[in-house]
Amino acid sequence: MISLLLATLTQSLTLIPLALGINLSYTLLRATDMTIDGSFVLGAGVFAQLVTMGISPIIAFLVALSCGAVAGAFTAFLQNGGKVDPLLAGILTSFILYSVNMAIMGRPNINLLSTPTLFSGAFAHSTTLGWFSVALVVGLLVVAFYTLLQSRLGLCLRAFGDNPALLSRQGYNVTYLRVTGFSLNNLLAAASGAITAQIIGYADIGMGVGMTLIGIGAIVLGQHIILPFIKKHYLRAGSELLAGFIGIALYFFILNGLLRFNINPIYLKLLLGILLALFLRTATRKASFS
Amino acid sequence: MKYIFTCLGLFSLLLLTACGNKHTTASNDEPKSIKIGIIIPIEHPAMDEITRGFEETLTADLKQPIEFQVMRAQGDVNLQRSMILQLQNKGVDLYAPIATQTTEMTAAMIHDRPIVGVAALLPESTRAKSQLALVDDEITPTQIIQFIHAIYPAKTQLTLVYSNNDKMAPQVDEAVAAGKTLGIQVDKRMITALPDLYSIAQSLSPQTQGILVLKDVLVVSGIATLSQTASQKHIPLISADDGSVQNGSGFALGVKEYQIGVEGAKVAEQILQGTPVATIPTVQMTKLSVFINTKALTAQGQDLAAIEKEAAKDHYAIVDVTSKPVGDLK
Amino acid sequence: MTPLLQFEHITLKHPSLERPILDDINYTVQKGDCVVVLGANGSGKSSLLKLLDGRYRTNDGKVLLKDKNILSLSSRTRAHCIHTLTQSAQDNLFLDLTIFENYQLIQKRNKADAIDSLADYLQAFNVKLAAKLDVLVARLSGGEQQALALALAVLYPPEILLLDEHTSALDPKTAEHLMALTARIIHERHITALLTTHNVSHALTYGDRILALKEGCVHDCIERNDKENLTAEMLMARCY
Repeated sequence: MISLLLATLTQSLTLIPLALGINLSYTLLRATDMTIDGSFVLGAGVFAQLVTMGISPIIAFLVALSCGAVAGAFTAFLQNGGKVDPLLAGILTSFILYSVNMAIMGRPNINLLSTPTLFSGAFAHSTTLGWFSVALVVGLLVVAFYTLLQSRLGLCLRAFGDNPALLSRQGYNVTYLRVTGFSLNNLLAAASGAITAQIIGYADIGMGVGMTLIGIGAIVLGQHIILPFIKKHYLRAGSELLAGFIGIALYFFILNGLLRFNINPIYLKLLLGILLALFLRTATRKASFS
Repeated sequence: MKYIFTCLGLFSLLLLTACGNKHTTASNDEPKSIKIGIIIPIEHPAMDEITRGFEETLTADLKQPIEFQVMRAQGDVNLQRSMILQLQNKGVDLYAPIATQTTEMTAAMIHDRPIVGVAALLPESTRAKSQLALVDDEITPTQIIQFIHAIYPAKTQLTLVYSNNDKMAPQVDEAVAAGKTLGIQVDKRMITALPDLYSIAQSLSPQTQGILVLKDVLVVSGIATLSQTASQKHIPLISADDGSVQNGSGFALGVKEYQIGVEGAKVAEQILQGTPVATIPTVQMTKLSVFINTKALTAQGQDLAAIEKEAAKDHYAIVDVTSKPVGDLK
Repeated sequence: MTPLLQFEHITLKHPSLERPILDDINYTVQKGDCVVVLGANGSGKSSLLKLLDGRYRTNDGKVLLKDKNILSLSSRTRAHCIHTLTQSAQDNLFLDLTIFENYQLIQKRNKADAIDSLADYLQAFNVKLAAKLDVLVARLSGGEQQALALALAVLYPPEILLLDEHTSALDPKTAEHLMALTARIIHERHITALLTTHNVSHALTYGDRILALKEGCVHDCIERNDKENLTAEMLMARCY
C-alpha cells in the first residue's frame, strides 16, 4: 500500500502544474483548452533540445515555459480575430504544434538519459533528494500561481470566464485577459511537460496525447470531492487548487491500483473510463440539484 | 458525495485484499525464482513475437524457474510509467523493455537493476547511468538500398514512405544518402497519421519505380494501401519486416522479430549469470532474412528469380510468408 | 451650453431586416435629464440604448457625447461614462463572483480608492445585501440582484445611466420599490438617465421627459412642461 501511495505521489507531482493550468482554463476561463496536448510536448521538446545543445537546464526550463505561453497566446489570438470557438482554436493550435514540435525537436524522440537536467544532480545524489528537488520546483510554480489567482488579475480572469461581454462593457481589455489566461495555462502545461521529460528520460512527440482529458477528468473529480466542504467563497482559489491535487492523485491512485489487480490491460482503459464516468455522473447529478 | 466516497472506499478495500492475497501467494513461491519484467509499449504482433522469442529462449537456457511479468502499456505514457513502478514494487530482477522509448523510460526510472533494452536504438553514452544493455534490431537502410540496387540495377527513382514515429528521421536521411551514392533518387514522403497514407499513395510521382517502407509501425499498419498502388503501377513495394510482407508488400530484407527476442534473451542470460552489464557490447542483428510474398510479387509484376538470386549471393535466408498467419514465423 | 448627449440622424439597419431598426432619429439630452423612452416591442428602444454602450454601431448619423462622437471614445472611456442596467441580472453582474468581488472589479476599473465600508454603502439600497458580501451573486434573489446592480452602477456615478427595462423581470411590488429607489438616487446624485419601460405610470411619475418611438422613428416627444397635464391614459394613447 505504501509503495502504491508513493507511486501515486511521484506520478502526480509531475502533472501538478498541468492540473493548475487546466484548472485555470477549465474552471476560471470556462474553456476546454486542447492546446495543452500540444504545449505539454512543446515544453518537453524545447527543454530537451536546448539541454542537448548544452544550454543550462535552468535557462532551458524558462525558455520551455515561455514557448508554452506563446502557444497559448496563439490560441487566444485565434479566438480574438476570427471568433473561433475556444475548443476549436485549441485543437487547431495543437494540430499546428505537432509540426512545430517536430521542427524544434528535429526528431520524434530526444533522449535525456545522459544529459544534465534540473534534477539530474539531485537524483544522482539520492532518489529522495531528487524527488525533493522536483517537489521544490513544482512547489514554486504552485505558490506563484496561487499568488496570481489571489491578485486582481486572478479576479479579472475569473470574471472573464463568468461573463466576458460584461467585463468588456465595464471597460476591461478582454483581449489582453484572454491572451494572459491562455498563456499562463499553457505555460503551466509546458512546465509539466519539461518536468515529465526529465523524470521519464526523454521527450517524445506523442507524449501529450490525452493529457487534457486526464487533467479535466481529474479536476472535475477533485472539485466534486472537495467543493461541498468549502462554504466560504474567499477560500475558493485555494480549494480549487487543492481539488486539482486531489483529482490528479486520485487518478493515479486508481490507475496504479487497477494495475495491482492484474487486470488484462486491454480492459484497463475501459475500466478507468467507466470509473471516471461514474464520478462525472455523480458530479453532474449534484450540479443539477444546486 | 456519499456515492463517490463509497466508490473510493470499496476500491481501496478491494485493493488492500488484492495486495494481501498476492503477498501470501508470493511467499509460497520457490525462493529462487527469477522475476523478469517485460514492458511492451503498444499492441503489435511484432512485439508479441519478440516477447515470445525472449521468453522461450530464456526459459530453455536458464536452469532456474523464471517468472515473467508482462506489462502492456497500450501506447499510454502515464500507464507505462505506472507499470514500471509496479514492476519495481514487485521486486523484479531484470527489466526487458521493448522499443527505444520504453527503454529510455525504464533507464530513467530504474538504476539498481539490470535492463536489457530490446529493439532499442540509444547512444552509448546513455548506458553509463543505469545498468543498461541494448539489442539494436535495426538493419541499416543502406543495406536495404544496396540490396534493392543489386536486384534492380536499372532503377533510379524510389519513393520512401515513412512516419514521424520514433527513430525514423535519421534512417530516412541515411536511406537518401545511400541512394545518392548508388545513383538512386529517393523521394521522401512523410505521414503523420494513417489517413495520410491514402493521399500519399494517390499522389506518387509518376516516375517512381518502386515504393520503399522501412521498419515503421504506422506505415506498416497501412501497408495494404500501398500494396494496391504498387499493383496498379506494377512497381515493387519493398519493406523491412516480415509482417508487412504478409500483408501485401512484395518482399523485405529484415530480421525475424522472434530472433530479436532470442538475442535479447541471450544478453539477459549473460547478465543473470554474472557478467557485468557495462562490459556487454550493444548487440547488432547479423542474421538477415529476405521475406517474400509470391502473390504480392505477381500482382506487382515482379520477378521472384532475381530476388532469390541476389539473396543467395548475400547468404540471406529466403522466407516465404505468403498467406501465412501473423505470428507463425518461427 | 452644449448638451450632454445628441443623437443626429441616427439610422441603424440589420442586413436581415427590410425596415431599419432606427430611422433618422434626432434627439438631445441635457445633463441631469431623466428621459423615459416608450414604445411597443420592436420599436427600437433597446437598440437606441445599445448604440450608447457600444454593443451596436450606427449605419448612418452619429451619437455625440459632449460634442464627441461616441465611436471615437476608447472602450475604457466609454465604460467610464456610460453604465447600463438591463432586466437580466447576467447583463449587469458577474453571477459566479461574490458581491465583494463584483465591487472590486468596478472599483478597479474606476481606479478609485476603496470605499470605507461596502456593507454600509449597500445598506441604503437593500438591507439584506449588507450581510451577504461573501455570497455568490447567483445565490441572491432577483430583487437583491437588481438593487446590487444599481448600487454598483451609481457607486462611481457615470455621465449617463442606461436603464433598459431594469425592473420588468421583478414582481410588481419589488419593481415598484426598485423604481422609486432608482428615481431617488438619480435625482439626488444628478445622474443623467435614459430609461426604457412599458409602465406608463412609471414614465409619468419618474421621467422628466418622454421620448416615444414607433417602428424606429420618433413618434412623439413630451417635454417637462407638457407632462404636467397628462394622465397615464392620455400618455398611453399618445405613445402607442
